[in-house]
Amino acid sequence: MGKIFQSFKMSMKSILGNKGRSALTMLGIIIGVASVIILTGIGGGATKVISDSMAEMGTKLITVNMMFQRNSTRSIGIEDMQEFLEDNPDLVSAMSPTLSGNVTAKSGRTNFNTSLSAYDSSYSEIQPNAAKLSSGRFLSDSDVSNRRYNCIVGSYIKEEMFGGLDPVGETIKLNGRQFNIIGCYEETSNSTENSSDNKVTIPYTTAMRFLKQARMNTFYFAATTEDEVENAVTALESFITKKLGTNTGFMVNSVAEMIDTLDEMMGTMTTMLAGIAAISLIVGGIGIMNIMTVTVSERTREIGIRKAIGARTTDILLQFLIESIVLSGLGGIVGIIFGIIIAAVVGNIISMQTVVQTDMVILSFTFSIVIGVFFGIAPARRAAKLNPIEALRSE
Amino acid sequence: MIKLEGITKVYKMGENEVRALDGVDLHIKPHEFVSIIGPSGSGKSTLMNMIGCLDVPTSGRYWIEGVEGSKMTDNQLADLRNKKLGFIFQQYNLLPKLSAVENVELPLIYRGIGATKRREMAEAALERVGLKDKMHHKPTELSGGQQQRVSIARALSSRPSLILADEPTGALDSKSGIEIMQMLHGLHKEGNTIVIITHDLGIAKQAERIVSIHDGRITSDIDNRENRASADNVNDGAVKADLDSGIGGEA
Repeated sequence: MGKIFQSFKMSMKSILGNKGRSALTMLGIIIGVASVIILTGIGGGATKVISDSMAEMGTKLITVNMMFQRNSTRSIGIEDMQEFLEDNPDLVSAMSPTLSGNVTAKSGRTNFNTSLSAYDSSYSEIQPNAAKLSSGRFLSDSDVSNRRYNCIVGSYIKEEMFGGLDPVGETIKLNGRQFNIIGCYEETSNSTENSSDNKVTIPYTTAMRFLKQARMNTFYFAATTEDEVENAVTALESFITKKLGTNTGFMVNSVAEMIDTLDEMMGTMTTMLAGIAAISLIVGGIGIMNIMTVTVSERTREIGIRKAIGARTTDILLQFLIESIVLSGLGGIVGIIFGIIIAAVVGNIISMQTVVQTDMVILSFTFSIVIGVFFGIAPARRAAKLNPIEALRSE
Repeated sequence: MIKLEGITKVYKMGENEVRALDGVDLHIKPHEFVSIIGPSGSGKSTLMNMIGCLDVPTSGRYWIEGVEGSKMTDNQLADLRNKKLGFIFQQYNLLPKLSAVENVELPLIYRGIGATKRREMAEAALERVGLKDKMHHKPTELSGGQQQRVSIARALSSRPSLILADEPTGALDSKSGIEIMQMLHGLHKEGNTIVIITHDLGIAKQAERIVSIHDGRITSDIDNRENRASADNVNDGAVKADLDSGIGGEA
């Protein structure tokens, strides 16, 4: 132990005694480690942003999409979905057909395009996060069954058309048709025109008539619990397959599944990035081997002296190996510090929080140590094997 | 103490074989002060490497304090050098980046002695050579004579059985050379065994015993206690003449 500490001290001395060269030698490792941390930090940040917004949609959400089935004699309608809901109370707790499109909203002299979505009253159960209101109420069962011309508006419409005052009780024209405003959504993203705050929601029954849609093609389900999501998806798939007589022409997706897919994709991407960074670490390692070889040649006489006064082969091996490990390890630490700083700066610039992954920090540091051992062993062995007589004779 | 029996060392130079040492028998007793003298190419460096455990012979046997060194592995030889031998080189061979005291500590590090004890021993050795006040100087900040004294301190620090000096005054001016020789005489009086390898007769004749080597063989081995020169009169012509007849006009 004492000898290792001595070797460590000696290697620090020789590294600090040649600062410029040591810094250049470490540069490869520094860049490699820093890029691992920056790239995975950005990747991690992006994953977090996407999966957070997905989780916002509710992890119990299941979406059924029907493609147009022109030549098919059989089709799936609202009644079929209602039937599934009633038959599977242990799997799903709510269902809402849904429609979406763009309409022109007009009130007084203001008019602009807004995105329209149509749901059942149960939508507030399926996606409670997306149905939070700042005033008024959500669609009721009677709004749906009576095909009322009632709507809920986003906070952008409240700001633009009603000067920020409560719009409940006011009216709005959508594609020329007058609707009563019964509720207003909470602001979700600063009430700008191209954000999710520029929206209006009406009953799906009203929408079918209003948008002249005979059939619904998208249905939302809420699974009873997160654990039942997978079972519900499977049950829905076999239910629809049975009804259609084919397993094509529709898609059943769940948010949980999408998050899984996303995580998997991001994981693959992170691995790829780490692979690229690993290549630069290996290049850095070759730089270390290069310098260590030069160092051994330059210090042949020193090695001879050390051997003459009693250094064993292993002492010399350890000294040069530790020097190489200290070089790569220091490079790793400097790279981690730079990586964390640059990741934070880049995150600031692209206004996205970067997530520095602790396991990547540990992994890249470990890897740089391994590089030090791997690329240091050959020069260190060369040093250790030097014949003391010849080494002493060298200048 | 040190015993060489029929030591032969053959170097292969391509097709040719060079017999650097050819059946050397030598016995060095404790507390002796021996000089080994020979011209370059005589095999004295090879002999020094043998005595210094830096090399193993092609044939023959070698003992240091009863331990046979001729059949040892590299690591065993390293330990032997560390514990039993103190080297003094012509070029001092100090490590330029270490201070005087760190240089002196070096053999003790390899022996695995703890930091406090090590520093104590190194300081004592530097005190013995009169350089304790310069212990934190780097070799480049010291004169040649002082550097050689540091290297003597390094040889002493591990309290070796044998001090092996290879042309210890070869790179020094005559005044520093005399100082170094006086120091070696002093160490001898304190009971150390000293072997000097030199081609300089003036240095050689200061020893108690002079061994001359030529073409890998010992050509003479004379007791010099009667005619011994002191360090101060290295150029004493009369003694030189005496010796010239004794060792066959070498040097």
